[in-house]
Amino acid sequence: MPAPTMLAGFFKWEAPGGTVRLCDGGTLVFDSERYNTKDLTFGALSGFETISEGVGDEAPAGMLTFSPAANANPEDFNGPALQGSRIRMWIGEIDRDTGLLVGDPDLQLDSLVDVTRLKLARGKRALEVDIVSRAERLFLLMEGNVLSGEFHRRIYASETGLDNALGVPTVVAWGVVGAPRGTASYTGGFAGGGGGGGVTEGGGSAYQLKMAEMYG
Amino acid sequence: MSVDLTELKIRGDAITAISAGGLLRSALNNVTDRIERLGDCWGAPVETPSMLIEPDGRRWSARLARAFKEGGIVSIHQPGFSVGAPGGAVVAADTAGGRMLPLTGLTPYYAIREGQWLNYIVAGQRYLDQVREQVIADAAGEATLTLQNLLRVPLVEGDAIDLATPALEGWMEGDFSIPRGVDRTTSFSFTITEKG
Repeated sequence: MPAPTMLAGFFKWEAPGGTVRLCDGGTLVFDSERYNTKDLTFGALSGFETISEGVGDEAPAGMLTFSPAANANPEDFNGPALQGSRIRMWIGEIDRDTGLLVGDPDLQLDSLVDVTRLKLARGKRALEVDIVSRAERLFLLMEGNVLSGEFHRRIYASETGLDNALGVPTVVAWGVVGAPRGTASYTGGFAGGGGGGGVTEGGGSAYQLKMAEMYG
Repeated sequence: MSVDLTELKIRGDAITAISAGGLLRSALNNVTDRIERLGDCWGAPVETPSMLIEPDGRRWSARLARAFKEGGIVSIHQPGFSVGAPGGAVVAADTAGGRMLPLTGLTPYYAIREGQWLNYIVAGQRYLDQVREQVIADAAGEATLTLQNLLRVPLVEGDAIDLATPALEGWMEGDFSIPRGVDRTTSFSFTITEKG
């Protein structure tokens, strides 16, 4: 006598264009919402990479692969608007006779869409969706407001005084004619840099030569 | 829309239960368990008898070539079995899923036999399934069947049931070829699998 229930995995993606509800082959109802095997746009969920999660500082992340419906437009199932939308996945038990869920399904995954990629190959069109944990939000660093031209102009739109304050250090070579700005090279002290004229003998050689010239 | 191949003569087929479940076997030779997952369906490798290339082979090769792109519908013959007069069966009530199928509109006292094939038709697509145990309709022509597999689409009251001419609708697998011999005959073989 086989067990009266069977396992079913199901999946909900709150995409901005409309919620996608998919399940294992068949159909089921969860929380008064209908899950089917195929979405008219996103098609079927054709695979997912194992969600990896580690001890320490690794957050859960993974990848889902969709086979979008054959006649769906790529602009409808791919694009930056999908980023950040919520994806959840459950595993539940189903009564074989009635098809109803038995008890509460287990939430397996609660995540955000990171990026989507459309992959084309011979006889194939697949949408890869990278997902990250919702806990990823906790890792967002809000560094506050910094003194930058961009921020300053957001408040004082006409003041451009900080626009040239780029925060990029300018290297001024000391003791030589000087490297042209912006092309400072750091291969072994002050070598190269346009001032030396073919002097390549070890670290700091241009400076040393100049000193030798001056003081014998 | 799938191509109608129900008139195609069939020399032999093998209805295959495509199972989403599987055995959970241990490397340590202890107990084996079976897990069932949603999504069981049917398929069949089909062979036709040989036929003259002109005109039958020509026509069927065109329809089969089309069916390889658009999907096909192949008859499920029940040799030696008389379907009788099932009446115009329809789904009696909305179903959430599962393998119980409430029917109405059957001929009163019509016996749906164990192992009989039927289609439920949703949005123009035929889904094949087999009856698990015999049920006899009551005086009002109502009966509740148990199918082998769970329903793959939600059914609503009034969806059509085809007991008289069951068929398998699905995709053809692999590449299509038309064998042509010096005796000017041809025959076809292909594997058709339900769309799920």
